[in-house]
Amino acid sequence: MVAFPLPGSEADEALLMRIGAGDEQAFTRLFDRYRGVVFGLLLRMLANRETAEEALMDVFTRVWKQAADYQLQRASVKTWLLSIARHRAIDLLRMRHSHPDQNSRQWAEDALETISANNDVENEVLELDMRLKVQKAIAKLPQEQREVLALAYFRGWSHSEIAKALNQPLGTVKTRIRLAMSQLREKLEPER
Amino acid sequence: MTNRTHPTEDLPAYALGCLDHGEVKELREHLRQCAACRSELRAFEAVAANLALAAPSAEPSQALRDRVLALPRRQRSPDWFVRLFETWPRLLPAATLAAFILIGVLGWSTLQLWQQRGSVPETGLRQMQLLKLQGTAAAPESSGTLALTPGERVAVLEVQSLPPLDPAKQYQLWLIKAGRRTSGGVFSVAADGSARLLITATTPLDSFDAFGITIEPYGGSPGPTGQKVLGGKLRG
Repeated sequence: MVAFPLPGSEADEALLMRIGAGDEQAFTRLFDRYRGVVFGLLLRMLANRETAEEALMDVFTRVWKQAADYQLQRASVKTWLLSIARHRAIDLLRMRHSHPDQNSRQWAEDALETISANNDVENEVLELDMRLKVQKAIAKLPQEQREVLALAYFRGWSHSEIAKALNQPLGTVKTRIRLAMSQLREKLEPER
Repeated sequence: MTNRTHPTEDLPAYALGCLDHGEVKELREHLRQCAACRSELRAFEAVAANLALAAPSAEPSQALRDRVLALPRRQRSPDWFVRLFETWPRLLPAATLAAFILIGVLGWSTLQLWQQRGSVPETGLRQMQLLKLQGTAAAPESSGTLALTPGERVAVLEVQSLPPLDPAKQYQLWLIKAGRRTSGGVFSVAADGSARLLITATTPLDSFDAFGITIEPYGGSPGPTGQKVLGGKLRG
C-alpha cells in the first residue's frame, strides 16, 4: 500500500527547497498539489468558506516565507504543511470561542471526492488511496474513541476541555485518545 | 500509566496538540534530550497529518488561487515600488533614457581622465576571451561559451541545449586549476535548455586551466559527483 505522498517524497522536498530559493513555479506546484486537502481540512474545521479561504492564504504565506527554514528530519513536507493549516484553524476557532456542535464530534461518512481538475494525476491517485485507508481505519475505532479524537483533532481541544464538555473523567479521555492514535498508527504507517 | 523515563504515552496527545499546558512543558523538556521519543513523536505527527484526509477535499475559489500565486511577487516588491510602476508608467521610459545619458556621460568623462593620465587600461572588450565549452557524450547536443576578460574575476557563462533536470538536481560549474576543482556555482536551465549566468570567483578567471559542468544534487556538491556534460580548456 502506498502512502500519499510517499514519506520523505523527494518531489515534495525538492519543491520546498526550490521555494526556499524563491522559485515561483515550485510554489505553484506545491499549492496545486495540496490545495484540495488543505482547504478541505480548513473548511471542515472552520465551517465557513470565506474564513477557510483566508486561512488558506495565511498557510501558504507562511509556506512561502518559511520554506527556507524547513527541516526534513523534523517532519515530511505533508506533515509540516497540514500542521500549519490545522494550527491556524485552531487559532481562529479559539478567537471565536466556539462551542462543540454535533458536526465537531463526527467524522465524515463519505470523504471520498472525485479527483479534482489537477494535472498532478499521480498524486491524486495516491491521495485517494490514502483517504480510503484513513476512512477505513477511523471507521474501525470504537465510537467513544472516534468522538474524543474528532474533538481533539478538529476543534483543537485539550484533554481537560474534552473531559469537561463530555462530562467524562480526564483519565478516560486520555486513554481513549492514546488508544485511538496507536491503532491508527498501526494501520496507517507505511509498510517497511 | 506513564513511563517516568520515557513518557511515550503522552506522545499521541502531544502530536494532536491536546495535552494540558503543564504536561506540555514537561514533555518538551524530555524531547529536547531524547532522540528515541522524538522519533516516536514524528510517527504520531504523521498519523495526525493523515487525519486531514478524513475531511473531504475541497477546491478554493479561482480568485483565492490567483491571490496565493501572486504572493511571491508581492513579497518581493515593496509597496512603494509597486505603486511607482502601477501609478506612473510614463516615468519609466524617461528614467531609462536618463540612465543611459548618465552612463554615457560617465563613460566619456572616464575616457577623458584616462587620456589626461596618458594611459588607457589595456583590459577591455578588445581583449575579452571567448572559451567554447563542448558537450560530452552525456549531453552531445549541448554547448556553452564562457566570456572572460584577463585579470578579471567576473565572467559570463552561456549554455544551450542542456537537458532540463529533475527538481532534485542542478548543474554545477567547476573551475579547474592544477587538477583541483572549485565550485563556480549551481544553476538550472530554462525549458529550452539555455541559461545565462554571471560567474564570480575569488581569483581572476583566466588563472584557471579549464572549466567543466556536471550534474549534481540540488544545491551542489563539494566536489564533482555526477556526469560531466560540458567542458573546455583554457590552456594545456
